[in-house]
Amino acid sequence: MPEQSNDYRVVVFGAGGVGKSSLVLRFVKGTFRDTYIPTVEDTYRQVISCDKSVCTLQITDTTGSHQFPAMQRLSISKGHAFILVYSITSRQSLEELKPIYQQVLAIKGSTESIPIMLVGNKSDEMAQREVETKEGEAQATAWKCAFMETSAKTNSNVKELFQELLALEKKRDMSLSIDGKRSGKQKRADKLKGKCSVM
Amino acid sequence: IKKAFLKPLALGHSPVAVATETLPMSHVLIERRMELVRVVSHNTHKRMVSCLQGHIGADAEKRHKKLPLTTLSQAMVEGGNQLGEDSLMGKMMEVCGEAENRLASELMLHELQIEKEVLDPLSQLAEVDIPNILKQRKQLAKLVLDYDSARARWLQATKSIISGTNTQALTAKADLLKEEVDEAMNKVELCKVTSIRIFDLYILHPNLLLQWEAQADYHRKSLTVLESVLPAIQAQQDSWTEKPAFGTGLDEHLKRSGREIALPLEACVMMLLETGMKEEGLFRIAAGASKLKKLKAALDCSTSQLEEFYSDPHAVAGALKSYLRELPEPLMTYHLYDEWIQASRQDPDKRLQALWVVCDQLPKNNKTNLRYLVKFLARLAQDSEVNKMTPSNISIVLGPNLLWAKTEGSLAEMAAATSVHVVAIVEPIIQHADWFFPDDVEFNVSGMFAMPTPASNHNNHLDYDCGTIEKKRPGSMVGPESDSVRKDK
Repeated sequence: MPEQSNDYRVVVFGAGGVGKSSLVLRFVKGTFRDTYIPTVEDTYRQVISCDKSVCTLQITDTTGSHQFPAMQRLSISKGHAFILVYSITSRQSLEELKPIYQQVLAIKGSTESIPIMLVGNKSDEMAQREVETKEGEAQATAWKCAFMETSAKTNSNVKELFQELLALEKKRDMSLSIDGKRSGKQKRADKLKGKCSVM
Repeated sequence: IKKAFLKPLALGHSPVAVATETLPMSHVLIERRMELVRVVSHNTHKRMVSCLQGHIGADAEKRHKKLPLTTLSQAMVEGGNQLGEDSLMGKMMEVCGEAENRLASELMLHELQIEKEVLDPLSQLAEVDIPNILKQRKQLAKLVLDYDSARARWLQATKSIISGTNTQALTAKADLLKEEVDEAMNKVELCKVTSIRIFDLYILHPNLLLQWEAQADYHRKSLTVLESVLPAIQAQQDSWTEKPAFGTGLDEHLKRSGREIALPLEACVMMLLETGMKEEGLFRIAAGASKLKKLKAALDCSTSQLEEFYSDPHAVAGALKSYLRELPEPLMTYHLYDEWIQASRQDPDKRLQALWVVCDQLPKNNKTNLRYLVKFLARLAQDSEVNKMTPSNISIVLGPNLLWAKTEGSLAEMAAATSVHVVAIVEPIIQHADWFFPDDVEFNVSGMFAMPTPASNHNNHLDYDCGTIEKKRPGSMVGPESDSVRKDK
């Protein structure tokens, strides 16, 4: 893979319907869609600054609805950093992350040098909360990873999420801002499902 | 025991041989010994009889009938009939019952042989022969005494001839006495011969040896019976324990269960029709792993209760997805894979027709089950305002469980591309379900999962008492129980 040195690949995992695509779309496009469309798999690219130069941040939005072990393994082995998303309105969605974390651990050997963010999304839906912030924190501590609660809907903590993730990477010095402007060269690389994510 | 029997025989011969020089001590000794043998034989016979399970002296058929094994066999066969051949236990009872019957026959034959060749001779010895011998011996002793006294008198007479005067008269007397001696001698000899013959007749040890041989033979034969039955029982067990629907090929599962629609498919569809149609993100939202596992196990053995899963449509949807995913071959088949992909690449105006052509090539079982599923999914999509599951969404989350490339795993990237094509295949089929499959589908195919009350607006009320699956408790399909089972969300 020739572009390996330049691309920085982030993979977003999580159960179906927790808001992976919404988080990624909020971050990449700054929008939130209220439609209900499952994802097959989408990849978004964005140029960021990296070691006083630029590189491509490649975000893979995976499917939460059907896990193909082979595909999951491939995504993990190619990924540099991982965002594990659950919904604070569903305890089950946090449970679903456990096998994924184990899979990351198994393939990467150790997660110490791998940036991982545990994310509790839908923080705006306080009334339906099933997972307390403390529980998310405790899980993150157990996994030795960072933790954050976000809301793609209200744009809470979304940019911070990606900033912190990049800050966790010690091998490169990365930052979201280039020339103070963000969405310069964003594009959809794999436009897997035309009408699904074009807003 | 053998030696104990042999010893008196050895002793028995010699005293008779030397009967003329009667020795009172050995005489008594032998009789004691004889008596001992008789008592031992008598006791052995008695204990041996109590070891038998059949009634001694009865004829073969009667004995066979009264053996505990036979009654066990009959009870098992009868129980098997009551349970029915279509249940594992019923079938097992039948097979085992027949085996027990064969064991009973072996036992009966064995006991008959023991009785004839061991017990009867033993009884003969204890109750007839030894008493006879002892009687004979008493007789012999008496005869020997007679002989001795006759001889003494004769010797006396011979002496008096030498010293006496009336020689002629004395000689005549002596001759007479001599005749008596000879006669007594003859009697002794005769008695001796018969005694010896009696002993010769009863050489006991072969009988006891036979007892062991017969027993060994019996056990060998029983073992043969058991070993011949074992594979049959094993096969029975296997044919029933390997019954899981999950992971079994569609044709095999349908054939084995005598069904038209796969059991997990019908069960899940019927459950979802009842409580899942309004559930947002059905087939998208993940189910609890343990609940899903439990439901899958319940569907596999089809004897467990399913009520508890009503309240968890996501687990039901997850089980259905799992079932489709775990089929050895996808429902839309490997061999039509390329055709499906080709059809999906056609221009939109030709695509439906192309898909229809491929669909028509599906094997009968696959077509029937796909039709059933698609009709259900189309129905689910009718409620998409509530459940958000449009044909497009359904095909995104479920499509990859219906068709996948054989090479998946080694070429994961291709699998990713595949999912996209699959969505383009499945979506139009769900969208145009009534065009692909014009006839209406009755979701309640087997009647196993439906309650026989037509009261509601749709006929998909369920009876989740799984006993009905096994048809063991037909009575359980009736009303009130099922009412409590239904949980409308």
